Amino acid sequence: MKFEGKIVENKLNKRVEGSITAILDVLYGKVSIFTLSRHFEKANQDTSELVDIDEGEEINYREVIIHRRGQPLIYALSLIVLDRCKEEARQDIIDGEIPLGKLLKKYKVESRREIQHIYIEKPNATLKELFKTSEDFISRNYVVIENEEVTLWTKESFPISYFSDKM
Amino acid sequence: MKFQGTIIKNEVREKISKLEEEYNTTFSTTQKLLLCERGPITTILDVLYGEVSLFMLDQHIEKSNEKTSKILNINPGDDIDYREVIVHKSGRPLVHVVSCIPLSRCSDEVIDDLMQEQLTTGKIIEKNDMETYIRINKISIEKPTATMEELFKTNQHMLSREYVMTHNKEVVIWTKESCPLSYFKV
Repeated sequence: MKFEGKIVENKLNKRVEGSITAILDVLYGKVSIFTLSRHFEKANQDTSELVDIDEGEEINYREVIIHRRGQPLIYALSLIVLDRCKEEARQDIIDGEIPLGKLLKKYKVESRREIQHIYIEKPNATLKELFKTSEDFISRNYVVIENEEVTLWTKESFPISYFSDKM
Repeated sequence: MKFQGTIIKNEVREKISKLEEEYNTTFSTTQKLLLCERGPITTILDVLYGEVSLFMLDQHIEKSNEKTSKILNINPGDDIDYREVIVHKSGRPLVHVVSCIPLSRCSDEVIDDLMQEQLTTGKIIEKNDMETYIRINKISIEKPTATMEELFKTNQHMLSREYVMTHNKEVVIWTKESCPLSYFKV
């Protein structure tokens, strides 16, 4: 049989599924999450735009490292609009012990994710210190949308040499 | 800084490891990625291999039987859209995909989109901004059916996974994706 058909258009496909933690876990075995910082803060001009809320509204700030036996794999910074999250999930979000992708699964949250940017950037001082490297980082930003509202904005970064085929 | 924290539990990893043990095999990074991707496989194939195409083998509306009504949580006899496609790269088959979609749970726009053969189900979900939850039900290795042998020109075992997507807390699609076990080894 000869297979034909139109090429699947993917240029506009911004939708992604699944968290990077779950993928890393499958690829590299058991991974752990280490919380660097988590707190509530008032949204400023930049962060309010990222999660589509008014300046001054409260957001949950969460900064974590996913690591395997102490070796950092991915840095993730998330801004969460707690009021827009399922009520039963809020305490787990505040506790910060469970990755956000896992929480979406735990609470069977129907959502969609949209990748906003994929880019290469110079590391800031925090990334340099965490990964002990000054090489460029590859990063992506995405939002999770639930009930037509952004509940979460996430940025994930790792050194550009990580996860290459030779790793 | 010393990183600590709890080890994350992951059912998909456990399923994959169990299968590797059972069949005394090791899956490649790509195979693992394809198995744990929580969504339609076409997007990731496209990113990994460049432009891929969709070839519709069969699409028709049929009455749900006992098996499909159980999977989709609908009544036997309800209308479902049956879709069977091959995702291929320049004529080389990559993945065989069967989907069953309960029509009563689709909007008119989604039904119109389903009738357009060039749209993948993932694309339809994206186009209609549908918020979904995905549950991988099964990851397995199985003997090929006659159709698979014919399509892939091989009689080797097939690596398959089955998942459902819910929308408004109801199952809106059941999908089974399969490819020969030797595919995506690199």
